Amino acid sequence: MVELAKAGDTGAFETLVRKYERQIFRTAQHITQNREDAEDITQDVFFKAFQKLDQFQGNSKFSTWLVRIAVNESLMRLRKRKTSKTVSMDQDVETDEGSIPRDFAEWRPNPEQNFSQSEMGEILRKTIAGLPPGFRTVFTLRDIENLSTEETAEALGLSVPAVKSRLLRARLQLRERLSRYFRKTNEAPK
Amino acid sequence: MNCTDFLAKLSDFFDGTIDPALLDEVKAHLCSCHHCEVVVDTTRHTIDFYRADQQFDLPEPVADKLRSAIMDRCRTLGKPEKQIRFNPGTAPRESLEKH
Ligand SMILES: [Zn+2]
Repeated sequence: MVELAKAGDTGAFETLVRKYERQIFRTAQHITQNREDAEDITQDVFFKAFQKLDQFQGNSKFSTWLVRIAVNESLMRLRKRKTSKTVSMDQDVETDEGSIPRDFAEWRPNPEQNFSQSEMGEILRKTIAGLPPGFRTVFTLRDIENLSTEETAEALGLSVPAVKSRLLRARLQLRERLSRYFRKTNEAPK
Repeated sequence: MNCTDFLAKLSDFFDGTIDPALLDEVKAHLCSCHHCEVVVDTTRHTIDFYRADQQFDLPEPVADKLRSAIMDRCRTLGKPEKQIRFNPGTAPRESLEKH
């Protein structure tokens, strides 16, 4: 399909768009935390991909190549939004906040039973939005989009150990933050 | 193995990429340490919640709208070589710059 698209078959390209549009949209939305931005980025990613198809060598998966473009576009969008702050994959990696577990409360077996679907969604959204973009991105690609560690490293231009360390911290920070909501005691979140 | 050692292996443990030689040690620590057991369980729930969360999904009508906008752009603007573009590597540019 990629070869057909490369040869100029726009129908084949449309099939590729159809196949990967959801993944690209989710990735962009997770990074930017903004639906409209994610819609714009999804358009830009596929348009750029179409223009640069010749540069796709087939050394990596086509989806990883697209995700890489999506990550770059999303980070660029974040940079534009926060004009004073630089946003990069390296931002805030120094922080150890939440990387050392402090909350050892067990959760209810099904915390979602105690929250409506929209409350659950809001908690999950707010929690992941609080992570530094670099951590959020690694977590999104590895745990939500199921990219391998190597594919994530390639899409982000990071080393495998860097991906692993960010992923661990992202997972632990999310866990720590969700614990505040889901712990068995009825303590209000801090 | 203490809790810090365990934590360092947590992601490998989750991802099934842990060194088999360490697996017994990791499991032994997990059996004897309630804190780490809780961390493992709740981290697993954390990942599962995000995987199951559909609020970031692209609704079908929006997908259709986006796709047709993308294809319109691709068909009208096309590939870069079809556009009139200035190639910085060509001689005329150098002569332009010298003026
Ligand atoms: Zn322990």
